[in-house]
Amino acid sequence: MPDILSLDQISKRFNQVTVIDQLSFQVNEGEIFGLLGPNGAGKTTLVNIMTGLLCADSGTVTLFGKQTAGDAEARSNIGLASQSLALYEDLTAAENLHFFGKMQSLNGSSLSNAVSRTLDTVGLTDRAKQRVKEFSGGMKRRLNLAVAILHKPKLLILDEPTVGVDPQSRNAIMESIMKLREQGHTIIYTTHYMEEVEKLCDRVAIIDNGKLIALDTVNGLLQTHGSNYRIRYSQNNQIHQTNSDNPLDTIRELLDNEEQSSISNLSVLSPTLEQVFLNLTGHALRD
Amino acid sequence: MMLTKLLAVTKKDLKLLYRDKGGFFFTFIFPILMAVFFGSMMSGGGGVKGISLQVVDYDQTTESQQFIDKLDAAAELRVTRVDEETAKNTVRKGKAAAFLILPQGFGAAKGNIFSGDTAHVQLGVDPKRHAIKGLLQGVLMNYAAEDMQSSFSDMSKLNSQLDQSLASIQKSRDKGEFTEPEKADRLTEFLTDFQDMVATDGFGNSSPQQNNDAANPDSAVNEPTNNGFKGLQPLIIDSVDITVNKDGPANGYDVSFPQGIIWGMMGCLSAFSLSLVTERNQGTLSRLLICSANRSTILAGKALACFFTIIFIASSLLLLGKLVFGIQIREPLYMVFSLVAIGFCFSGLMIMFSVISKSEKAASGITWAAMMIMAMAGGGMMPLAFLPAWMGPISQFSPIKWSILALEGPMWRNFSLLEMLPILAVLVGIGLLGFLVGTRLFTWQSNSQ
Repeated sequence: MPDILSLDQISKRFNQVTVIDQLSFQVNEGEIFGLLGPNGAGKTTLVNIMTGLLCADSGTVTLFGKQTAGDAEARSNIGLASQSLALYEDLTAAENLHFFGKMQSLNGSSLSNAVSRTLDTVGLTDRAKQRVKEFSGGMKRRLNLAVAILHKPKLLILDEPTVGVDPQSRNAIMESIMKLREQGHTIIYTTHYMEEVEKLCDRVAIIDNGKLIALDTVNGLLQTHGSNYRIRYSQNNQIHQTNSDNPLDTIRELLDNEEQSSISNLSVLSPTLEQVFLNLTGHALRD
Repeated sequence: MMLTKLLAVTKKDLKLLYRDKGGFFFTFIFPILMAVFFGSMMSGGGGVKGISLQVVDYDQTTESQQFIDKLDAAAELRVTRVDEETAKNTVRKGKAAAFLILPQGFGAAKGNIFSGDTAHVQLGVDPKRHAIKGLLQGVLMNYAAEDMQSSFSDMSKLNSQLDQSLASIQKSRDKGEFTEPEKADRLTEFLTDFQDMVATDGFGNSSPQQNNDAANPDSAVNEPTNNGFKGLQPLIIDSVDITVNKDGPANGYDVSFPQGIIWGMMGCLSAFSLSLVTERNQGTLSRLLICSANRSTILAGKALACFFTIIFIASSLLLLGKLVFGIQIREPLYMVFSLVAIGFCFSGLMIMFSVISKSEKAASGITWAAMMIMAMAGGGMMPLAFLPAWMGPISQFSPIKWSILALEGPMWRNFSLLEMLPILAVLVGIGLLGFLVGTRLFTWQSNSQ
């Protein structure tokens, strides 16, 4: 698959502090690419560089094969749902969408259709004429996403799209993203929620202190950097845990050697991205 | 396409301003309240008692004093006793509606009802003020007629007036002033019979027809005939046209409305400059920039919204002032030039203030602080004429001063186009400076993030 986005040796400093350090990766067409890292890792700065809102101190950004991120045509093919709710609270949902649609050069019936379609995608059709300031946090997040997908961008960048939302809205957002993937959108998904990355992303780049720590598929990361499977069981009213890279063999051995009747509550815990991050950086993801 | 985006930003900002209750109040309502409140304060408030009349009494007789007292007590008039120069100057400056001069001999003439000269007065009014002129003539004739009527009810006074009149006719006859002596004979005969009747039966009332004639200003305002008997005219009013010197505000609203407009513009500037900071902080600015809208389009859209709002506020206030409070707009075309220049100036300043601050609180504080200083120095809080002399040079740096001059010029200062041009140029220059500084800062900030 061709590259939609390519970053090559990108660096950015703010007041002598290196926020992005020699960072390189490519995003393929049609994939959901996760940027996983703790708060302050440099994810939002990286997003701003990708979209041309910020200039990198060094390195190059290539969008859609040839254009740089600052190019107007390239930017018009990007949809950004920023971490902050980039909406006008005194306008209604439909008015927000109409305004941003016009700014995306949509007009007439194509604009009206796009507004209806996106409202439907994020499940806000019945709230179209309600002012945004009357929305719940989750509804605002969904509208924020709707604005980003209004013009059917080739590249959709979702920066922490589920921050501060209730579980119901989070599920709605996740479902919307799944639908977008089915429609063939290329998505860059930044988050510090590993569960979301595991559920959604085809490939994941782990970032810490502005550096790329690892880049692979979720399974690849787990296999390469994750710990062994953890097998837990109770025996004689005591909980035991053992690590294994081959849980089936370990369980078989366990059952052969021990009295079967004395073992209960046997469970196998898969390795997680949390463990991957811990193994790679020496600290937890939410530190 | 760029124009569509620019207009979309403008429309959106206008909608947001309209929906922001605080912004709407300070932009639209507060200026009206201020203009009306201060205008009524400066105009004395509580309405006007009547037509202001400056009275000059050269006669200084009991009759002239009584006549002035009668006018002073009249509900239609507001009488001030002054000397002739003051009277004419006051009317010229537009601070009084008219002046009235009672010449020497006014009292004596009022005593000669049936002979001799009828009492003359001189009434000075701006010829353009037809209604005031007609009204004053009517009022003066009415009170003069009342005086005459009271003479008829005083027997001794009436007898004395008849004696005076008969003596006066005889004197004229002796001098050969009568061209038709038989008329003088008939008049002498009539007045003698009339005197006999008064002496024997008493006589109280003049005929209603006489009163009606006397009260009709058109019938009385004419040249006296050179005849012994001048008819029963209570007063002859000699009209004098006096051109009102227009270099001055006609009332307090002429001063307060430009100030109100300036406050509206300041509210508008504050609201729009704050909106850019808000957009930056809430992320909509980034979103707009990604929407392939360049920085110039966004700034131009906001500036255009600010400009339209300023024009709307100023036009609405001027219309309200003109229709309800009678403010003057002598040069409407110059006023259009002024509004465009002021709109441009304040839009440019808005752009500059909007990029100076990073937080909304700082933006609000800085904008209002700067505006307050400029308003204080520029006559936005009190008229420039009331400011101490040392403020004069400082006020040159205030766009508020130039804006007020640009508004007052076509209103009541009677500025020519030549006088208007430097003011408009200063305003456009300040606006350009604001746009330049603002766009440079905006670009620099975006690149240095």
